Amino acid sequence: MLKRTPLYDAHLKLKARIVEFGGFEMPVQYTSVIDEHMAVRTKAGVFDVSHMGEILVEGEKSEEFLNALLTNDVASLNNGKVQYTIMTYDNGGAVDDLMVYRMDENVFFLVVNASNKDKDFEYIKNHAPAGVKVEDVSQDYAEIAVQGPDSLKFAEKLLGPMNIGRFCFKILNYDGATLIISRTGYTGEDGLEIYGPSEAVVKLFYGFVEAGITPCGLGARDTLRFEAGLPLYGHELSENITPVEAGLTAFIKFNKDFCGKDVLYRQIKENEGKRLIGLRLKEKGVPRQGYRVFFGGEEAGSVTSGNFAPYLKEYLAMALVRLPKDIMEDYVGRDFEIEIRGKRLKAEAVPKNFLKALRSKK
Amino acid sequence: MSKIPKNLLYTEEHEWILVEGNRGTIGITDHAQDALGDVVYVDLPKVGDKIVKGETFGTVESVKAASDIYAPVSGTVVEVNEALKDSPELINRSPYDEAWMIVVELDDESELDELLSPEDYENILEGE
Repeated sequence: MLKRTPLYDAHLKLKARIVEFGGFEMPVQYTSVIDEHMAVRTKAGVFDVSHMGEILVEGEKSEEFLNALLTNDVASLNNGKVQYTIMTYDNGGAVDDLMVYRMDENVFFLVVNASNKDKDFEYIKNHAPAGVKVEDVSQDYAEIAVQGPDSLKFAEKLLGPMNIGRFCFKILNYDGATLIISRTGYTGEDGLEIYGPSEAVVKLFYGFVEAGITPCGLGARDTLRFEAGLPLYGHELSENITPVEAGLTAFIKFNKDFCGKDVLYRQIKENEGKRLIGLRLKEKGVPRQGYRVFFGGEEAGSVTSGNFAPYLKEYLAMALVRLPKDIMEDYVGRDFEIEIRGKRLKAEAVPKNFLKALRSKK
Repeated sequence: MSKIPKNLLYTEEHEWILVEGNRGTIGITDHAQDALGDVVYVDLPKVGDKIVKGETFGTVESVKAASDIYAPVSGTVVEVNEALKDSPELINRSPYDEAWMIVVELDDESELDELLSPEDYENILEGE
């Protein structure tokens, strides 16, 4: 049985096309993926992301416990701040990537991928020592994301002054309900993610739409995160793809112990494993997950995500490849090929944060 | 409700053909473009290529998926809409007009008898 978010009726009213995602019936688009994508790059868009899972971890040893499960350093996270991190297995593979909110000294709010939520919850609970309480609170929270250069302006009209720094959050009263609002997102643009009880979040969603923000579906969420070079679990990260391979070394802290630390350390020091690279096609074609990638005429790996990037107007791919060790740090600008429907098309390696790297050249 | 012009013939795979003399202009239907979503790439044959009824002669790719295009008739390609290469979004905007894909010289006009009338095509869409 597929689940529905509290905003399901709103999606139908707004004539969304509904698809299955992570066990939920979710809107993939309302009008057009590209129009919604461009609205977020140039103005603002609002997304229902209530399918995301929320897990509460609390108790005296929570910090120490989470630091042993997550690659980033929870100890450096102050109250009121948010941290992107990866949960790893002993072999360095990723259980999931997630956001950690420090609500209090010993209270952490974890936001995880919908399709991984049950697995994550089991994994965290099974590792938890006595005195640390792990609770799946996903049912208690609806979530919307407001993203784009104008998103804060719109939010202030409905919610009052925001005054939230990047990767910070605050607790706010709205319509008798308590909301968690963070200056975070998954689009490469400025914006907010808002968590709270169903009724208040639904009301806020309608409020944003009436104020003129474009409702956006999961189609645009995917093209936006892809164009910004952000990883998606199951594509750029998985049980078999480590955060080092995925290029997420900035979110791994080796000043502490955590699952898989040795493997990740060796992958960096010895240039072991594969690496995630960005590719820009020099010919027209749409790369898709699984398409083969060639370097120097030899098969080097495969595409993890690929598409036409609507704002940059380029055909782009992220690809996981095995490279000769001497060029692992120096692949940008080199020639690759992507096999698209039986034809090998020419591509050039580019930094995988496409938006940052290519936006100025537009 | 998607548009189904009365002067065209259709396939179950959602292509249309406009027949004038022994030539046919071919494209994909309004329903097809709507189901695909934003089209970002089109692969079409070259002038002089042969197409065979029921077999694929090209590909349309949207942000969401790739889809083959099937030949409604057999024939030789005499014209290709080059504008679609740089502006594939025309397929969403104007599927029956600006986004015609190819013109073919028909091999066998009797193949047209097997195609769907606008009424038949409408019934198929309603059944979907």
